[in-house]
Formats: sequence, structure tokens, C-alpha cells
Amino acid sequence: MSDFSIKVRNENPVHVLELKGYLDAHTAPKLEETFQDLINKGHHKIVVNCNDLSYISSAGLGVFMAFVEDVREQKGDIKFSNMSQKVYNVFDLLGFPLLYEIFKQEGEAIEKFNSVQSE
Amino acid sequence: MSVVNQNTQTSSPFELQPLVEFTRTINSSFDIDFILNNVLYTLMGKLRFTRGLILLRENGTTYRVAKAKGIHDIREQEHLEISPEPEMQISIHSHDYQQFPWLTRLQNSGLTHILDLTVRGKLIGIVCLGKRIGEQQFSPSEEIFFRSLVNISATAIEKTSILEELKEANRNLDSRIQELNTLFEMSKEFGAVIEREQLIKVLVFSLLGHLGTNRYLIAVKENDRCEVIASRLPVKEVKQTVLHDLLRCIKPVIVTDSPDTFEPDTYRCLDDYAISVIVPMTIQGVTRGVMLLGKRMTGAPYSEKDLEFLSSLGNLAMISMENIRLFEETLEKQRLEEELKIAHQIQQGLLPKSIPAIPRYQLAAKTIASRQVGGDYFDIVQLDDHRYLLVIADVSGKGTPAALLMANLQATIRALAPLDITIADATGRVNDLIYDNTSADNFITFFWGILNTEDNTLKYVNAGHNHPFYCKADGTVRRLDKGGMILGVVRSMITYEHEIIHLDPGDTVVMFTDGVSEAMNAENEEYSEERIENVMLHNECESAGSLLDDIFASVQEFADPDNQSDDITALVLKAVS
Repeated sequence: MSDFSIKVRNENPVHVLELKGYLDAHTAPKLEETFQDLINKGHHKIVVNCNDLSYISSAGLGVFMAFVEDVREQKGDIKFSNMSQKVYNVFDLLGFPLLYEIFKQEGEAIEKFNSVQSE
Repeated sequence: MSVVNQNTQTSSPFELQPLVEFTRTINSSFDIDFILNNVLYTLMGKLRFTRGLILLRENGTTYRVAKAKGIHDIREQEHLEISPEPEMQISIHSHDYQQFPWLTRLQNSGLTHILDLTVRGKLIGIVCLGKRIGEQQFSPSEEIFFRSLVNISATAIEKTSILEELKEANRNLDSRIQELNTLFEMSKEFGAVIEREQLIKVLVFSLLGHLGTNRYLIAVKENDRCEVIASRLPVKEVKQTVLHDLLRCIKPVIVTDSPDTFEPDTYRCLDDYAISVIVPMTIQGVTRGVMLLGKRMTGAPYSEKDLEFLSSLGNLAMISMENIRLFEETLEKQRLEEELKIAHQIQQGLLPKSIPAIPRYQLAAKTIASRQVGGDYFDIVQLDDHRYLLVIADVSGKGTPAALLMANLQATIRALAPLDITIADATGRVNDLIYDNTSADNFITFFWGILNTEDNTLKYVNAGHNHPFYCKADGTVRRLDKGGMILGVVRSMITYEHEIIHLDPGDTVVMFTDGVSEAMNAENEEYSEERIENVMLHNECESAGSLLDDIFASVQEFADPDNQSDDITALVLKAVS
């Protein structure tokens, strides 16, 4: 049932979350915990790599909504990368591409953070 | 296609070639922008026009400027009202401007030639061209080219708009599926969680994710109060009056659409918190909670469909919370029942298994435990061959705590009984032990006495217990009230008093607990001590057992069995010859 895992990788100053498996109502609290932990430690630049994410539900997307304001207030952001078409479709249906930057490759997302920082 | 065929007979083949090419190009694409660009560029290039415009019908008489080239005073995406529609003449000057005022606008922009985009007799748009370089009049072959190209374009444009509609329909279908998925997932998840906190968390995430907002408040009715169970608002606390007002809502409300649903003060708050929708959470049509959501981060308005979805989700969550509450209540009840069972077992274990036979005396005792298990206790201990200790007590509280205190009392009594101390001193010690070992709100009303069968006396101490009746054979009655404070409230300061009474044949002592005197009937009247006395005086009996039976029968006749909140205990001692 809870076939979901998160790996956090430090790509200073960006933190990459590698999501794997099913992100739904059942597993959302796990993601919430990870976000809370990152924010508590003062990490606000977050790239969510969705390469191994096989499914996302509305509840999963809700976690990003719950934290996006906090990180943006701290001049950080949540950006996405490596999304499968299936996962992207859910993002698209709920209007998320208007709210978040989505990149093909993780590197581009990290690059975006770094380029904004150097300005 | 028939137009093209006629064309081949009357014009040179060089005009057929671009038409074929054009047809192939625009039919290879579903991109409306690409098609419209191609139509205008081909027409303008081939027929030497510097201005081009395509209007597409949105609905009724409203047309949208889908493409404009070389024109500055009509912008793309602008809407025009085209009414009434003319039988199209290619030259704009052939139309009566009085009859078709909208033509003036086109003419003012320098447009001189127009033609309808028609598919199966249905007008879907208008192509307009202007500022021709060179000869203004079309040659017959040019006119055929113009008509043919516009004709082919109409079909291609129609095709893309059908595709767009299909895509739109598909997208709508996909969002319905997404909604159903969310509802399905929620009902599955709600069914599995048994903790309210978890449920609320899952509900909040689904709301935020599905609607793309991050301002919310969820409140539910708890008795007379409204409890906020989750919120993210720019304020710490929302006034109870506002919450109560919001909880009156029975169907979803878009705040700006319904200015009269709530009190003005409520609207001021909603405005301050930037709340866009209010969704009641109902069970069987009764509003039990309410969800408030802020505006969506995309800026999109909440649709009727969204409100329906929110209603379903809210009701689902409310029912699940109610189920959790009922489940917890049932668990708590089961736990209490279990505890009472244990308390009852302890209490029964503490009562004497049998009543010893005492020469020349009759002793009868009985206790009926209440459902909640009170703290009545009695005991009979043989001290030596002619002395017997009789005890009756009522421990404060009910259930397991009372049973444990009772066990404590029994252990103390049994430990002190063999010691060579007076009953008054022993009472002081019992009091101190109970006082030391319990909290201040625990106490015991306590009566005990030593029956001496050699000199036929009863030496007793009454520590705050209901005064037993002492009834002489001649019918005179007095109460046994010598003693002192109830046990366990304060440390013994002064020695308890005692009294010695003589028991002649026929004399009776009736000890009882307040469960007897305070047994209630359906009218909430107490059985009273007078009634005990009456039974005692009118009892014609010879035995302690029959008097005890009479007392219990009388109490049971009087009292309402549904109203028994305390244990009922009585002890009867009778001296016989």
C-alpha cells in the first residue's frame, strides 16, 4: 500500500527530493514530514525530481501547496523535473503548470536556482 | 471540390497547382494558427492584397478576430458583433452600409473584399482582404481562386474547431475523472483511518491539491461551540459569532456572489481573510461543519463543478469524522463495561462467602450491587470463641477506584482485628491509614462493633455511617450514633467515642447503607429511614433473615429498578433466647 519513498540529496544550495512510487493521501504525510524537516533546517530551494514517481493524487499535490508559500517567502521555490506524461497530466488538469516551474531535466531546475541567485 | 473541377476547364493550370499545394498543407495540420496564417498569406500573396482579416464565429452574432495582418485599428482576439448577416458579395462596396452597419468598421480599416467561410450551409466565419495593389477588380479566374481557397479553408478550420471541442470535452472528462479519483481515494483513506487528526490532514491536502489554494479553515460544531480543526489564515482566531453564522449555511456559497447570506460582520471577516468559498459539511442535510477556502493561486474562479466536488468531499469527511467519534464512544463504553466487570469481581471477592453461625444470635446480611458498582462493604470476622466483629461501610466513588479502596479497608480491618487494642483506638488507626493512602476526596462511612456473646453486649464505633437502628423487644427504638468523623478525611485528632449496648433476647440491630434509605422511585422520592423503621416495627417475624427479606422486599417494591444508582446493603442482628 505505502509503496512510496523519498531520497533527499544535497546539491548545495539546492536540495533535490527524489520521489519514488505512489504519492497519494496515504503517503502524503511522509512527504509533508520531509518538507517540514527541510524548511526547519532553513533549506528553501527545492527541486522535486519525479523520475520514479509513478502516480500522484490531489492529496499529493496538496503537500506542495501547503509549503510553496513558506519557501517563496524565504526567497526559495519548489521546482519540478523529470515528470512522466501521466504525472504531468495530473499537474496540468489541476492548473499546476501555471503555479510551478517544471523542467525536463533536474539539472535545468538546479541551474535556474543558481542563475537567479547569481543575479 | 466541384468548384476546383470547373476551374480546370476555364483557367490555366498554374492556378490549380497552388490550390492543390494549399489544400495539402492546411489539411496536414490541426494547428488553427498555422492554418489561418496560411490562408491569409496565400490569399494576400496570390491576389496582391496588403491587408487581411479572419473573423470566426464564437456564438450567435459574436465574432472573434482570429487573425489580422496589416491592420492596426482592429486587434486580434477583439470581438465584433456581425448582425444582420448579408448574402456575401465579394466587393464590400456592393453591400448596403445602412443595412449592415458593421461593414463600416471593416471598410474604415481599408478592407475591400469579403467572403463567407461556410461549411454545410453554416456560416463559421468571414475572410476580409483590403488594399489591393494594381487592378482592383478580380478577373473571373481570380474570383474562382478566391472562392475555392476560402471554401477549402472553411472545411479545414471547421475540422480544427471540432478537434478543439473534442480536446475540451476530453479535458473536462479528465477533470471529472480526477475528481472521482480524489473522492474515491478519500473514501478509501477515510475508511481506513481511525484517528481524527490523520483524517483532517488528508482532507486538507486533498483540498489544497485539488483546488490549488493555500488559505483554508475547517470548523465543526462541538455541542454549542464551533471548533476550528484546521486552518491557515492570516489571523490567529476567528470569532465564535462569525463561525456560528457560517455554520448556518446549507449549501456551497461563492462569497462575492451572495452578499446577503451572512451578517455584515461575517462578510468583513471573510474579506479580511480573503475567503472565496464557503462549503457546508452536512450529515443527512444537517450542517455539522464548514470549510472555508481562499482564492486559487491560478486566479481561476470556483466553478459550479468545483462546488459540487467540495460538497461531496466535505460531506464525506464529516460522515467519516462522525464514524470515528461513534467508534471512540463505543470503545470507551466497552472499556468502562470491562472496568465495571473487574470492579464487581473485586467487590464480590471482598464480601464474606458465608455468615458464621453465632450461638443465641441470628445474623443475616445481603447486598445488591448497582450497575455502576458502588462501594458498599460488610464483613463478619470471628475474633475468638465468643467475640465477633461486624462491619458495614460505604466507600466513596464507584467502579474500580471504589473497589480498590474497599480492598484497602478490608486489609486494614483484618490486620487490626487480632491486635489487643480497643475498638475506638483501632478506628483511629483505620482512619489514619486510609487518610495516608488515599487522596482527599476519598472517604468511607464506617460502622463496626464487637458482639460479645458471653456478656451479650455490642461495643461499637460509628464513623459517619447511617445510624443503625437498635430496637428493643418492647418496640422502643434508638439509633447507634456514637463515634466520630468519617474515615479518610482528616488525621485522627481525638479518640473516637464508643458505646456498649446490651442485647436481650428479642432485641434487634439493623445496619444499612444509604443505598437503602436513598433508593429512588420513579418520582425521584427517597425510600427514607422512616420506611426502614416501619418495616422493622411491623415485622411480626421471629428471625433476622425474614426481617432482612422484608426490608429488601419493601425497598424493591418502592424503588424504580432503572433508577438504582447505588449499592443496597443491610445487616440484621437479632438476639434470641
